[in-house]
Amino acid sequence: MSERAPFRICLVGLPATGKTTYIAALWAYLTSGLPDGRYRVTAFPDDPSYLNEIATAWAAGRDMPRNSLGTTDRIEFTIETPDRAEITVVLPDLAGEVFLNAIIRPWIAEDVAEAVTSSDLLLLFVNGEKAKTYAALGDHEVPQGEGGGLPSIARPAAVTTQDTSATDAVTVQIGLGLAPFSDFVVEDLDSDTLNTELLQRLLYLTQDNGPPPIAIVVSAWDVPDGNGDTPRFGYASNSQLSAFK
Amino acid sequence: MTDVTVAPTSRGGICSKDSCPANLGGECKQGHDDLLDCEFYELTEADDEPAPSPPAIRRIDLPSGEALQANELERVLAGHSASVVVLLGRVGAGKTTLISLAYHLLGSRRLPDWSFAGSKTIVGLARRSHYASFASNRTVPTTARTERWASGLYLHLGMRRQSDDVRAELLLVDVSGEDVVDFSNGKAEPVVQKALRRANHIIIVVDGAEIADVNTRSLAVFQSRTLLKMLEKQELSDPAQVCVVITKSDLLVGNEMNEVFDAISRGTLAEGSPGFVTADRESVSSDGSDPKVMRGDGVNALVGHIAVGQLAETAIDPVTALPPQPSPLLRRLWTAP
Repeated sequence: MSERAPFRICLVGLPATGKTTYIAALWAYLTSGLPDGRYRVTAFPDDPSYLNEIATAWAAGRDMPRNSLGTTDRIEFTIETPDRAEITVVLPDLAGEVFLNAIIRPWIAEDVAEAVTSSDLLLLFVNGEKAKTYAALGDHEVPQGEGGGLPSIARPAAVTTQDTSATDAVTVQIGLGLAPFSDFVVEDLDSDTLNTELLQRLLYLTQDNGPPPIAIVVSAWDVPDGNGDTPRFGYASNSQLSAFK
Repeated sequence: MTDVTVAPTSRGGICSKDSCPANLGGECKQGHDDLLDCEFYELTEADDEPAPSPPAIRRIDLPSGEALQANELERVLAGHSASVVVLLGRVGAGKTTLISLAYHLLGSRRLPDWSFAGSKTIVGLARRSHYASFASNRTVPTTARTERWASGLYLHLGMRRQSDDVRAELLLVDVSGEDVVDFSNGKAEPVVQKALRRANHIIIVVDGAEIADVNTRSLAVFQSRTLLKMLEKQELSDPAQVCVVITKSDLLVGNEMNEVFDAISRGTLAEGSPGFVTADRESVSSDGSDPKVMRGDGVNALVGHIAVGQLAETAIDPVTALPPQPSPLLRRLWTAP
């Protein structure tokens, strides 16, 4: 074992953003028999069965097993870097629900907070495939009516939520073949807003000693449009997360 | 930090008298305070030993992200200065919509001069924007009316100027339209008065839909002038700046917004006072003769006016900040006999 203090990496992110997949891929890479001069594992965890299980699933292209709520398993191993230095990496594999609940409730269990605040590096995972930003109805272009004059925009006179009973709303929407109106629910927010709020709460947790370096990891970034845009391009131009550069 | 024990309590036994309320968690029918003293009550086998309590979950409370009360501002802003912006207008004029619009245009980087720099009230802003989003399953965007219980809460917006990365912080006060009407009618309205005492900027929000309708235009102008005159009686902070914003510009045609602005400001605002026209949705004429109105038109200029005022007031960047805007209305108010 290295005598250096362990390097603690905390993977944070909403459910299904690729945290466990990242650990699986990392473990599969590190244990793939790399030659000298590359990163390799020199001290294995006491029980590597979980890592082997997820790495096997990853290699086979299967879905990752979902972490149960409250999981704070410590994954600790030592790697040798290309310059022969040894680093002990601590990677708690926390369930994404823990972080979603931190926004909804809003509180976080002390052991999870400890994993965040004691980390040397925070990796905030964002699912590039499922990423959504706020989509405003007002962005529609509405053509002017044939009669000329004022645009025939679909703007109701003094409509407020109090003016429309839930029953009427459901009836009207179903009549149009649309889903019923939905009320505001925090967990249903678009992923960009949730990720931004999560990042702010992580900053709040680490405010006493200052936040560690934070990197945003965009998983499945090549899936959405396949046009070759890198995460830096896509998220720099669209996401609220860019506010925290 | 708070300790929470998630442990359902159990009476842990059963009474042989079927009709005894103790079986349903009630009082012992025989009148015993301790059920174990009752001859008909006995512990079930599984409950002979008290069940171990699950471990307490120690938790750390986090900010809710909702709109802020006045007494939360200092703690949440952690010493950063911010401009307090009070929006006054009648019910449905578009006060909350304007706040939501500024948030989403900033967040989606659609304002040419300013970008989003975080918010301590993201959940509160998202809540107010919900009914104007596809996520609400609506077909027509709207904004929930600000209820009186939520009137006077603060919504935070951090902004960064694109040209030099200088930050500005805004605290937008979401006031219920009913409170504003009461204030206009001369009633002592504590929510509005308290907000005005802190205000660095006061925005008179005029409903563009009422301006567009010839039947309601005169009344809308009169009501806005009344609101401005009521401000003269208030104890405003120094330097509070006042501007007029006409919303829903997609409904306006020709030069009517300029005429309306002149009519509102004549005698109530000093010459040169700023006026803005904003659009919260797009429109385009069918024959292309009318200019296309873009969602967010006017918002860049409005937030820029407010933020530049803050930069000047707080001297965050005295080199690049524009000179402080004069406060013609306030000057006139303070010198008035």
